[in-house]
Amino acid sequence: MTDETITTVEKAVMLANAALVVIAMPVIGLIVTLGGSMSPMVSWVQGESSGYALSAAGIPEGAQVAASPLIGPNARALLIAVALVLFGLLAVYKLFQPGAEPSESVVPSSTEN
Amino acid sequence: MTQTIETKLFGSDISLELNGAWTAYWLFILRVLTGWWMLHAGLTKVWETYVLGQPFGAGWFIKFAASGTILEPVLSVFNSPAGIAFTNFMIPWGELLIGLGVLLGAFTRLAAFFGAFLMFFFYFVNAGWSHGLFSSDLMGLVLFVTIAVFGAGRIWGLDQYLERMNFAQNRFARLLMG
Repeated sequence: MTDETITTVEKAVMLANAALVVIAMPVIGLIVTLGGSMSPMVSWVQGESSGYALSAAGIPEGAQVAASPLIGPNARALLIAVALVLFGLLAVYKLFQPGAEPSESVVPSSTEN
Repeated sequence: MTQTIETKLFGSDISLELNGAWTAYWLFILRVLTGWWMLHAGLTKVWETYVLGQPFGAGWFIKFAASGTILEPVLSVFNSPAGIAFTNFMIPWGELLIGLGVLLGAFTRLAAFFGAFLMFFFYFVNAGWSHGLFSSDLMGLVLFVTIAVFGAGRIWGLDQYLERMNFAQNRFARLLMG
């Protein structure tokens, strides 16, 4: 087994990321679905046509709300966005983090002599 | 050969049995599919812009698509002639370079990082969530993150050769590769 070093920063991001993803996707997703909205978005109808919007304010004039999620899509999106930004920042942190060389060293052919 | 990976995850002992050949093979397939998907997206935009004379336009994306999304404040920064021109240049060439990097396995992690960065904007601005929050844009983002986490460029990719070169003998360069 190669040596694995997971820093405290990595652990914190892994925990936060997992918690945010689990809450935003399956947990709130189940609440929204069992709450009666089959879509994470606000669904609307207007005569023969229908569609989806991010909020009630985004539906066309004269259209009626068919189903509205208990928790709006932008609130869930915000949780996902925070998780992804944390993950991206961690990647940049790892790039500039002072530390040991990668465990698997590759010796260039020119330095073998 | 099946290998047992043993590690600890937040105090729990984790034992994962992986078949090395199948893991490497599947990561290669994942890299080729994702790389071609992005290379095709970029190549067609570049071709249409510079060969067919039908310039790529991201103006609608910045001006209208972002309206009401959580990234509206971010994209409003680019809502100017200069910002739109910058985006019109960066999306086709960015997609092409990301696709090339991932497909060929060259600077794979760097390419995958920017692939995920690009998909971040597509996911939140397209907001195609009518049938679920886990849309195809987020699936694309997850593919890029998977490729970056596994460093899939070494499997029949150029990174296995690039990382032997002198310039790559440092932590910084190695982390950008597969």
